[in-house]
Amino acid sequence: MRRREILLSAVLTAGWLAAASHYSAQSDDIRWIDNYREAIQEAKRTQKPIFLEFRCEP
Amino acid sequence: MAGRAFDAQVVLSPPDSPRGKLLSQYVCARLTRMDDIDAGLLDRDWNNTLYYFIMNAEEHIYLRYGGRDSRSPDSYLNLSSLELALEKGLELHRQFQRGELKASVRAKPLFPRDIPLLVERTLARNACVECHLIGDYLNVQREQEAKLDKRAHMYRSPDIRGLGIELDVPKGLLVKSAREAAAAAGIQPGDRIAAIEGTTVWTFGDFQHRYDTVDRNAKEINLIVERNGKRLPVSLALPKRWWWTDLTFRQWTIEPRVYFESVPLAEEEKRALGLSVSGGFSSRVKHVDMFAEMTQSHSLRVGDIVFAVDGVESDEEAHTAELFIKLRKSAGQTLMLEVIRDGKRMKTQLKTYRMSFRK
Repeated sequence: MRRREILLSAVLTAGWLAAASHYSAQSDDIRWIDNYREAIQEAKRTQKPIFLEFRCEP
Repeated sequence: MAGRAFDAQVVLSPPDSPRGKLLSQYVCARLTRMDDIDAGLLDRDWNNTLYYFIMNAEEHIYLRYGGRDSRSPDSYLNLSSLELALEKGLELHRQFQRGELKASVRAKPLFPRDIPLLVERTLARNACVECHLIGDYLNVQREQEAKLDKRAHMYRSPDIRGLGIELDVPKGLLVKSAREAAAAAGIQPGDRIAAIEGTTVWTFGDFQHRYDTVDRNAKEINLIVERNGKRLPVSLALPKRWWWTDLTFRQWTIEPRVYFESVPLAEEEKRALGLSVSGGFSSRVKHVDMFAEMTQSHSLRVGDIVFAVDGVESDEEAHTAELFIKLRKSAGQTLMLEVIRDGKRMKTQLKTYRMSFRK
């Protein structure tokens, strides 16, 4: 049962990552930065507010 | 799914959708590690698997989005209310740029490298600084330094439903139904909660974060609600043990695991059995977890009445034996319980269990 859960989780995560990278490549409008300092610098440069997501991925 | 579906829906928002158009006006960042993040500034209930801040380059936080309860990590995550938050964030940003919003006082910095246990058990091993580990190690440190207030640090994020408030989640802080303490205070369905204890709140995340800071000895809280375009002050009398929540999902190291559940005895039953009535926490065991047998922590049975722990029968906060143990004892301690079983008084030991993360 535990192995099945781990396998399912791995498949979902892999699917999510594949979809996310595919989508990032397709979209010029929404770029997701994975570095806090870079987000701050980008907000300074563009004068935009920051939408910051924290995702705990155990 | 612990927020995974919501996370994907947000990150994969189509650019030409209303949500995508809102997000395109932001610098979007998605972080999965806390290694070099100021946990003082970006403080939250660390057991949220998904949490959002809307802020600016000067690290002024406009609002928070997220928050959970014991039912689910997703209880307050909703794409409609997220869009409301994104719209409000843009409005607040424009106000800030025009000088109409005062910059907030920055919270005291706290980096993972400042938490010795976290350094020892994650950073030094090049392991991920997971959000929940920050909360857990902070509490372990507080316990070691005798600074732990379990009602505040262990019972984080009191449940708004304990006040009788059910929110219309897609609409943010709009009240769907008001019962008990909320109804007694005059809160009505259709009200929108606008402030708590003098702090303006735009989202459930804002509300929950501020509500969590209320002194656990407080007897009432002051809210502002919006009704028919008017702002109305409301004083809400806090019910007994308003701070209590189900801790099951948290897996705290500091929580003494007891592996039984009990319900308080009625006053008449306490009197009939000659037990302490005022403040007495005598309670009847209603469930014994299988871990009790696996860990050989105790031999309680369903139906047993636990009326004393280490010779103490009453407490100003606890109304059950298990709550007394969780509040007043440390994880790993062995305790002597006084029990009534089949009408006979007896003593039996209980060894509380301490959870552990990579320790």
